[in-house]
Amino acid sequence: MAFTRKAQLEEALKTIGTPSDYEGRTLWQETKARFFRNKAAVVGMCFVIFLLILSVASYVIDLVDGGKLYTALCLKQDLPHKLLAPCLAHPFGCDEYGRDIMLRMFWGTRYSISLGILSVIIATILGCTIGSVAGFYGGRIDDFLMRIMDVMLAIPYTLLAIAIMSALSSNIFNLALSIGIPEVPQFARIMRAQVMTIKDRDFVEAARASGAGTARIILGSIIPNCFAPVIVQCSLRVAGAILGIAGLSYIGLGIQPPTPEWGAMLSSAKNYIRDAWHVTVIPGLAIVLTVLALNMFGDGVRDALDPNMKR
Amino acid sequence: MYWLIDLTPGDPAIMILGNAASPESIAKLHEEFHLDDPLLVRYGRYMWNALHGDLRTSYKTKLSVAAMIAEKLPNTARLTFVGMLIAILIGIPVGIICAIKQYSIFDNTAMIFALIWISAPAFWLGLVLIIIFSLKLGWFPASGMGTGFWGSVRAVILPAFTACAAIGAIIARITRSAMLEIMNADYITTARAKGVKEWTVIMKHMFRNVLIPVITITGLEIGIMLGGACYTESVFSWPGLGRYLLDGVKSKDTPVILGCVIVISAMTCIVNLITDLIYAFVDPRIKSQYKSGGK
Repeated sequence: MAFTRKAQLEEALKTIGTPSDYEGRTLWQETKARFFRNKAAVVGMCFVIFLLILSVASYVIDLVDGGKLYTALCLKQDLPHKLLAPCLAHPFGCDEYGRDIMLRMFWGTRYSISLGILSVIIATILGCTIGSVAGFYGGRIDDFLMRIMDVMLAIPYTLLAIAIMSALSSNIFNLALSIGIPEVPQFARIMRAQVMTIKDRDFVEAARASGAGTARIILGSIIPNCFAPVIVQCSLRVAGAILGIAGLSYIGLGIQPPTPEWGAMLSSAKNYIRDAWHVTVIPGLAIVLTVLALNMFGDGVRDALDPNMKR
Repeated sequence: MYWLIDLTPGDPAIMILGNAASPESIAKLHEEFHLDDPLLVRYGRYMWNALHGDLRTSYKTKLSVAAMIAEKLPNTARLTFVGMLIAILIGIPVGIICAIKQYSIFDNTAMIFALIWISAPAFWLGLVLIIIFSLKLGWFPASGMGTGFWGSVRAVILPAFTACAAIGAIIARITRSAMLEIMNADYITTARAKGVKEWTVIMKHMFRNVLIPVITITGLEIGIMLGGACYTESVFSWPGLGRYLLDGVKSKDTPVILGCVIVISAMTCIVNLITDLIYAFVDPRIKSQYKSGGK
C-alpha cells in the first residue's frame, strides 16, 4: 500500500528534516529551518511580504504628496471609462465610476492588512491578559473569567462582530475592535492552558524563591514561555480577521465607499454584476489570494513551531 | 449583549417617531416603554419577557420580533440544512479518498481546492456563482426562494453551496487528517491481516472511528454557518434570520438585533448539545460512560 508507515515517515522527514539536520542548532534556527522546508509556507510568506510592501508604499506615497495622488487616482470619478473591461491601460478594468480597479486595490491593501494585524493584536493583548490571570490565580477568578469567555464563545463569531459594530460608531479602530473582541476567548483559553502547565515548573519556583513579585513572575517567567501556541494562533487568525473586516465592509458596517477597502469595493460593485463581471470578481480575488497566502503561512508557522501536530 | 446594544448612541423614541417628533410625544413613549428606568431594571424586564417568548416589537415596522423570527427561522433552517447536507455529502467522501490515496494527484488537488474554498469569503463566492450559474448559464435563479417544489429546490442550491463551501472544505480536511491518524493503528493492521476486505476495513474499522472528530467539527460549523447566514442571505436576497438581522442593524432596530442574536445563539447551543448527544450513538464507549454516570 502507498500509505505504509515507512512511506509516511520518509515523507515526514522530507518535510521536517532528519535529526542530523538540526544538530548544533538553537531552537530558533531549528524552527526557521523547518519553516523554510515547507514550500507552500514560503510562497505564502513571500506574498504576505509583498502585500506589506504595497501597504507601506501606499502610506509613504500619501505622506509625501499629502494624499493628492490618492485622491486623483482612487477617488476622482471618470465616467467615460465607467465599467471598462480589463485592457492594457487598465489591466483590471474600471469600476462603476470609471476609477482604475488595480490602483484602488493597491491603495486598499493597507486597510485589510493593517486592520487584520491590529485586530489580532487587540485579541492577543486582551486574551493573553485574561488567560494568564485566570491560569495563574485559578479558583474563583479563573471560574469568573472563563465563564465570561464561554458566554462569548456561545455567540457565533460573525454575529458578535456585527452586534459590536452596530453598537459602536463606524471608524477604523472600532472595526478592528469588533473583529478582535470575538477572538479574545480563543487566545484566553490557549494562554490559560499554557500558564497552568508552566506555573508549577521549577524555574517559576526559583523566580518566586528569589523574591520576584507576582507581576514579575507572570511577565518575566511565565508569559515568555507560553508564546509558541499564541504565535501560531496569531498567524492563523490574521486571515480570519481579514475575512471578517471585508465581510463587515461588504454589509455596510465597516469602511464606507468610496474608500477603496476590498470588501467595500465588492459591496458597491455588486449592483453591476449584470453589466460587468470584473468589478466584483477581481477585488474578491485579492481577498481570496491574501487569505490563502496567510493561511499557507500560518500552517507553515504551526508546523515549524509544533512539528508533532498533524496537519 | 443587551448592555452593549444599550450603549448604542441614539434615543429609541426618536428612532420610532422620527426626527420631527415633538418632545411631548417622545416623553410619552419613554413612559410607555419604560425607557427612563435604570439599565438593570430594563435588562431584567427584557430577560423576563424574553423567557416568556416576548422579544418586544420592532422600532421600524411595529411588528412583534418573536413573530417575525418565527416566520423567518424556517427559511434559515432550510438553507442551513441543505448546506450542511451538501457539505457532509461532499466533504466526508473527499476526505476519505484523500486519506486513502495520500499524496496522489486527487489528494493534492482536493486539498489545494479545500484551502481556496476556506479562503474565499462567502459573499464573494455567492456573487461569482450568480455570475456563472444565473447570469451566464441561466440554470438557477439569482435571488428569492422560488415557487413550487422544483422552483424552491433550484433556488436553494446556489445559496446552500455558497454557505457550505468553506465548511465542506473543513470537513474534508478533518476527515482526511483523522483517517491518516488511525490508518496505522494496530487494529487496522489486524483487520487487514485476518483478510477483511479493504472496503470493509475503510468503512467499518476506519470511518466509524473518525466519526467523533468529524461530528464535532460539523456541530461547530453549523453554529458558524448560522452566524454567517447574513452574508449568504444578503447576497441571494434570502428572506431568513440573517437578512432580518442585517435590516435591523442598518435601521438601528435594537429589539430586532437582540432578538436575532438571542435566537441564533440559542440555536447554536442546541446544536452543540445535540452534537454531544450524538456521540453516544456513534461511540459505544461514550454511551457506556453515560450509563455508568461518568465513573
